[in-house]
Amino acid sequence: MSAFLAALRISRRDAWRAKGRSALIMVMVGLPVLVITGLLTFAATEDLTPQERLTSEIGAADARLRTTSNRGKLHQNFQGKCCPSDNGPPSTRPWTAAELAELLGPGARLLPMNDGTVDFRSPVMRDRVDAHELDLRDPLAAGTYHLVEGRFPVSDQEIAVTPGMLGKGARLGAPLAITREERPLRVVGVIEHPHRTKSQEIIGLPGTLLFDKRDGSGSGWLADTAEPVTWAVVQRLNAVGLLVQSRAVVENPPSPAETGVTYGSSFTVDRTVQIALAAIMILLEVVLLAGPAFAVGLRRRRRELALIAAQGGSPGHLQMIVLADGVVLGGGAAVIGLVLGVGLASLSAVLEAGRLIGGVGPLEIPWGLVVTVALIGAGSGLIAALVPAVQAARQDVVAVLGGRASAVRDRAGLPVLGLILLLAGIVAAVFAIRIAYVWVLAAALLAQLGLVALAPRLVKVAARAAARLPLPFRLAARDASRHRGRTACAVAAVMTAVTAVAAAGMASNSRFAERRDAFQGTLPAGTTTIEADRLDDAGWAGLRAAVERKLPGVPLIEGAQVLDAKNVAVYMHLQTVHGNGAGSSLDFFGDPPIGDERLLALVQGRRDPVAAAALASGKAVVFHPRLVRDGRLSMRLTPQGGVSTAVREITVPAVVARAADPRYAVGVVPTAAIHAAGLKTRPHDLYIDPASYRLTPQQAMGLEWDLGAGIADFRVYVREGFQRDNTVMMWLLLAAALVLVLGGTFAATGLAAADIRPDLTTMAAVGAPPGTRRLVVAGQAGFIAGLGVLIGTPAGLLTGTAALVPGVGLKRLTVEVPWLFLAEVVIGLPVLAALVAGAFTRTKVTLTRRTG
Amino acid sequence: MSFDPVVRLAGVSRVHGDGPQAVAALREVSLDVAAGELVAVMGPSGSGKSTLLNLAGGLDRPTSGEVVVEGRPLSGLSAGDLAGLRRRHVGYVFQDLNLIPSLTAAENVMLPRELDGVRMGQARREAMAALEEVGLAEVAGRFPEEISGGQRQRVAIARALVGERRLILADEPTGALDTPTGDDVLQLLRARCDAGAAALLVTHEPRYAGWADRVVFLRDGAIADSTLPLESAR
Repeated sequence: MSAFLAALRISRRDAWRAKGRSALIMVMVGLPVLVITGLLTFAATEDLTPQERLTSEIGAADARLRTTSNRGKLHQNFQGKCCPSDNGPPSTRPWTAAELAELLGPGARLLPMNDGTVDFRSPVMRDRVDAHELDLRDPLAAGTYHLVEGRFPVSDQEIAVTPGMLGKGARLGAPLAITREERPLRVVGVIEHPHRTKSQEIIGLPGTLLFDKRDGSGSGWLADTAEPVTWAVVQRLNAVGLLVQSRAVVENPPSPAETGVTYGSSFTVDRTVQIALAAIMILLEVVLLAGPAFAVGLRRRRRELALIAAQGGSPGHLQMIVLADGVVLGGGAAVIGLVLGVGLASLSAVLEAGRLIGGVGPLEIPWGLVVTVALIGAGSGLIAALVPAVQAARQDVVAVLGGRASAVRDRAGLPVLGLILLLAGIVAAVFAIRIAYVWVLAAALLAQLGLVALAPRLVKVAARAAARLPLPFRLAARDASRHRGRTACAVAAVMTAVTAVAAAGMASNSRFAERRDAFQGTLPAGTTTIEADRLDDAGWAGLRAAVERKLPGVPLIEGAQVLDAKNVAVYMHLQTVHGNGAGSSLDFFGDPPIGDERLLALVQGRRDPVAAAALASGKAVVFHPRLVRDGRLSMRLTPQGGVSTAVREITVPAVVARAADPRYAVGVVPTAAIHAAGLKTRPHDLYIDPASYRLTPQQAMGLEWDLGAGIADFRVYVREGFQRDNTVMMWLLLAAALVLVLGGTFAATGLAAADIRPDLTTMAAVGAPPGTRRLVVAGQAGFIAGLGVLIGTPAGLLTGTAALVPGVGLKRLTVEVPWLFLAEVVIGLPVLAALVAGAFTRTKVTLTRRTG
Repeated sequence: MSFDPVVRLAGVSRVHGDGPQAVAALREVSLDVAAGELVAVMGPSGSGKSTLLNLAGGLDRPTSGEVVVEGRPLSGLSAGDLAGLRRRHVGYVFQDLNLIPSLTAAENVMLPRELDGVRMGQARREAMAALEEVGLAEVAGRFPEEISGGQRQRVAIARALVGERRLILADEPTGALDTPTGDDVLQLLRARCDAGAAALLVTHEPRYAGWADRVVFLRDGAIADSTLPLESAR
């Protein structure tokens, strides 16, 4: 024990003496601990428990009651959330206070509290936001909202808004136009939700905002009861279709056996493996990043360790002293990281920094998790010191004391073990692609460990290949090879980071490509659609006339909806003909438009007289050959809102034509073909060709608002087409690669540059210009980053591709290599690393005392 | 003066490399150093002086012959046993860079005892005693870079003698010192030997060899001569 204490003392003092190196290691170990513990604490603070949310949801009440669309028995969990239920008669009228009082027992007081959404128009915009009807002055509502400015509403002409609404043009003291009728209600107060500080909400007295809750569905009450609302009372209320959020029940939840509502655990095997893999990858990366610093530290301390050996230090003692470095630096960094991470997160909770993301909660430190993270951090320091410790135990004391330089030869790694792990990983991945992607990643990690073990050998091979390079680069490569302990660690760190980033980039890009390729629109992007349900002929004519008034001169193209014999609207799903070779993975979603040749021209994107003639003759025109077999198009009909058993299939005559953009065109069906199949049609859509008039989504909302007064059940929207974008993800990955590759490279290059200083001084003495010395250091950085990137990129591409297979299978696998991203990583990062390292090299010659 | 040798080298040879590249650093050297005896080893560069010292303390192993320390033959000992032997019986003093820069003088002296598992308080008491014996109790709390070169060597001698150790293997301990300071160090070594320690001193300065009871001359790895020192050299 005293020997270990002595080792700790030596490490502590040595860490203080070599401040730069110690700081480097502490940052590498401590920063991830700081970031992860900080995020965990921040997340736990923002993530509210049902108990923490209770007051904001039910105020000072004993319970909150919510109505549902049915009046039959339902099941809820202890928080008052429901599982869907179709039991009982539908709710058609509001509950009366007497009915509820009877259910809650004598002495109960009820305060209405309704939730919904409302449209508004401010001087700057029109929008739809959450709205609540609640008398905030009532003591039962205490704790639901804080008054920030002004006062609570007292009449049906007044409302209060949250600060988020101020950004949408609401002003204290000014009227705000509410609903499509634009009823002006005066904003008399600004109120804030205790946890959702960025929410956009409007609150008024009951009966002022929400007019769609009159059938008794979606409304509710806060209840003040004489006795606590127990689980038995909750069940009694559930029996008549009411959901209950009871203070007594939430504070002392019944067991899942009592509630009868169980949830699948989110802690599955796959998820556990995923978390374990992420932890191992972070651990591996930290160990590899810190490894060179320990390796260099060992070389600088060889004389010291030899002296200890001379005084009777056994190989075990030397090993312990180097491991103590890991304990001191890793443990110290972990403790500092933990304290700073938890401290900063606590400070942010005190200062309500959650406001920045709109979520404020009471401070909660997940001690189990944060301490585990800190222990893993401390462990990474210890593991990083392991290889130098073993080397320390093996060093030739006599040679070191005699001043003969390279007393410990850097070994060529563990090439046999590396090869075995690499092959085992590849074989495991081949099996894993049939199971689940997490196992592919686990296999990839095994192979990655193999590559790490092979890294010293790869450094040696690469340095040999650099024999024909110009002097500075050759010298850099030789130096890298001579100090393989340091170089291999840094190369492995870069390689591991690049493997992870390239795998994520490959998987993300391919999945994006898969979604993009599978996207199939039925109308061109930018088409404005005005869609109306349940309008009779007069209503339709009125809508059409109103649109023509609002958009004079804009051609409107009519589309129809299919009705079955009972006048029930039906969905039409196109049936793809499989088995004739094409083998594409297209899925056709959405109904094909039904209409005339003008609609055909819109969908087809060009004039096609032959197709127009076919449509006029009652044939459907489709743009994908796989939809047509024997001249007919097959469609499956499902009644809207009905049960899926009432499905029938029809076929209509069809021809295949060519669309200008097949991604936004499936086909057009003439009404005559629908009628011939024994079905009816009615006008349902008005389309505006983007070529003739294009609206923005905002303008579409404005049009809906303008048309809205007096016409119910219609929508105006713009078909936006395929909107997803992968750019942000790829930039994030590139940023991660930049930080890790440059971080790992610079840490190792800094150490290497310090080591090679005597050689550079010699070069200067024999006349090498400063530029050459710069090039040597640039070469050192380029060698580390370049080799790491060259090995890591193919490994990552293979991993990313293999990880996609379990989801879709080999046959339907879409692979799209992110070439630009790869070029940035493979060429850009090493060049950048070399340029930056070269630019920051000290070219001043310092006279070095040479020993040995 | 006892005649029971603290260290005995019997027909010790050390050959580096093999085949045509083989270099004999030491050939058939036999030498005894008894308690209370200070033996100086002299010879030109490459004559095998340092090799002799390395073999005597078990840092290196002879190709043939036997080294016996405190009556214990080293040939059968493992690396761990040899380290243990050095902790308990042998102290090295080198030319310079003897002390661990990150430890104070006292902590440097404590080191072999602590490595041996002695509790810190006990190790510190022993270290303070050893420092007092070399007259350096006042620098106990200072770091090596805060004391003079001569003081550093005296601390190293204190460390070499801490606990039960009584064999000092000193390799040019005065090489980096000026003459008066070197004299002080030799005087201290002499005093420790007079108090019962055994010392093997490698030096190329006849002036310092004058302090020895016996001078052994090495040439090409073999003992060329063994004499009493010249009184005038002292």
